[in-house]
Amino acid sequence: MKDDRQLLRKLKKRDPNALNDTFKQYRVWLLMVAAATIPDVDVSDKAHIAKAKKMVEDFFIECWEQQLFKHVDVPLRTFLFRAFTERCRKQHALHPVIP
Amino acid sequence: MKPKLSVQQNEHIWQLMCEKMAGIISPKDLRYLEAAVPKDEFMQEALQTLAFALGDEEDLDLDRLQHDDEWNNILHDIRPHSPEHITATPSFRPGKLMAAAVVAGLILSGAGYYYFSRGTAPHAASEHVQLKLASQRTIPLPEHPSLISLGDVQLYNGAQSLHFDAKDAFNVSGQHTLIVPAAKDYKVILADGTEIWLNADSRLRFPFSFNGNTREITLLNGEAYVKAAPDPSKPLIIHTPQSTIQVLGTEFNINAYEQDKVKVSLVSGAVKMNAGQHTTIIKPGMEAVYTAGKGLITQAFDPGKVLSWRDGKHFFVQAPIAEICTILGRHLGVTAVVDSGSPAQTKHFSGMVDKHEPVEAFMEGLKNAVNIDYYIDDNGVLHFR
Repeated sequence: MKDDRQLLRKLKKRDPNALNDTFKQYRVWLLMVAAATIPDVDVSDKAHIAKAKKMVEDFFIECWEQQLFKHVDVPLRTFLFRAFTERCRKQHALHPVIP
Repeated sequence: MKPKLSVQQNEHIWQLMCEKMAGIISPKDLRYLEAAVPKDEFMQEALQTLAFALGDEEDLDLDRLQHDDEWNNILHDIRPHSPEHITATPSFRPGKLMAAAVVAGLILSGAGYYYFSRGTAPHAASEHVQLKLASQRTIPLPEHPSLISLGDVQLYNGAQSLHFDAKDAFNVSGQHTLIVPAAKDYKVILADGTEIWLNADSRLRFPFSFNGNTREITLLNGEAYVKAAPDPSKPLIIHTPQSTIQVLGTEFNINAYEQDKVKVSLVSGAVKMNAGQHTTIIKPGMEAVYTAGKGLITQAFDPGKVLSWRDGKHFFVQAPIAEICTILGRHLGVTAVVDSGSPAQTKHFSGMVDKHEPVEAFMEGLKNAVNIDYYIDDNGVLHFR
């Protein structure tokens, strides 16, 4: 397991390998956050898992392309967790899943 | 009252729980998590559900989920150089974002653990307790614990109770309606710490925050047991369709099931009741009964009978069969009718319905006591024969 502080330092310097390492280290965690955050996600359903995986991938790509790591001043995990759940909330406001 | 965690603390604990699930939590955070959880009833319940879900779940294979070739290679999907170029095209990857939007949800939910266990609930047919917001949006409050985020307000739905935290009290406004269906009961803890148990088939209107000089709520119908939090500077006022009750740090029961009648039974403290043209002060051990057109009386009441609904027991005295049908519908969720010509039509009954017993237990008792037979038809409707 790679050190969060080191990863964040490299991410701020836009090191793509640090992005890849962070992605590998935390993708399953965020997949669970997605599955636990979104109602009606069934982990035994392959299609649900595939959609959740895509959300995690898109999230990392967006963080990279919009340079969101640049101003992070909290621990890396805290940032990932907050930004990812916030993203779920915002998208829900546009496309509500529950009535 | 038990100490409540702040919204930020709760969010952090939720994060750590997910880290624990994924097996990436640090030993230090794990110790913190294990120390923090016993402080909060809701978190305790959520963690137990989590432990259960993980211990018994073959579908959730962490090694398989982590496996490389099931994920896209992120390095192929990013453009590592010239970030300026990217910011010039803000609408990148619309396809992927749309797909994500379809599955994205609002609810930050302890219920998530539940979804890990086995898909949908086996008893999905039964109606949930619901919260209808001022915005008309309806939030289901299922029986498994869940944490629901509504922007400025976080709702904590325990197995049979609700409490909430408002980040900024003045940002949340409006009256929300808690709806408890037949055969359920539910407790809500209001912003001031006042606890209200709602009986089956009841509706309560309340705000997330009491910003004015009074604390005002409305029992639209049904029955409520109230344990008021004392606050002399802000009187608690409870409206019912037929009366207004002003409260000073006290415990009492309000029964407003019947449209033209309201019954307030006081356990401790003092309560002032206005109904029609009448006003009365109720003392402990007494109840005030107001019937529209008939006026207000006060009388002693039997706490064993009036308050026993919180243990699932519903007493009735010299009740006609129509009232028995209402009680069976309200508390057991059973539709009951009287067949024409049944001797039950002219009888009156005294006794008790226990919601934790099947309806057959009650009916067999009735059959033995007063010799009234019954059957249940193909649609599940109970008939007094």
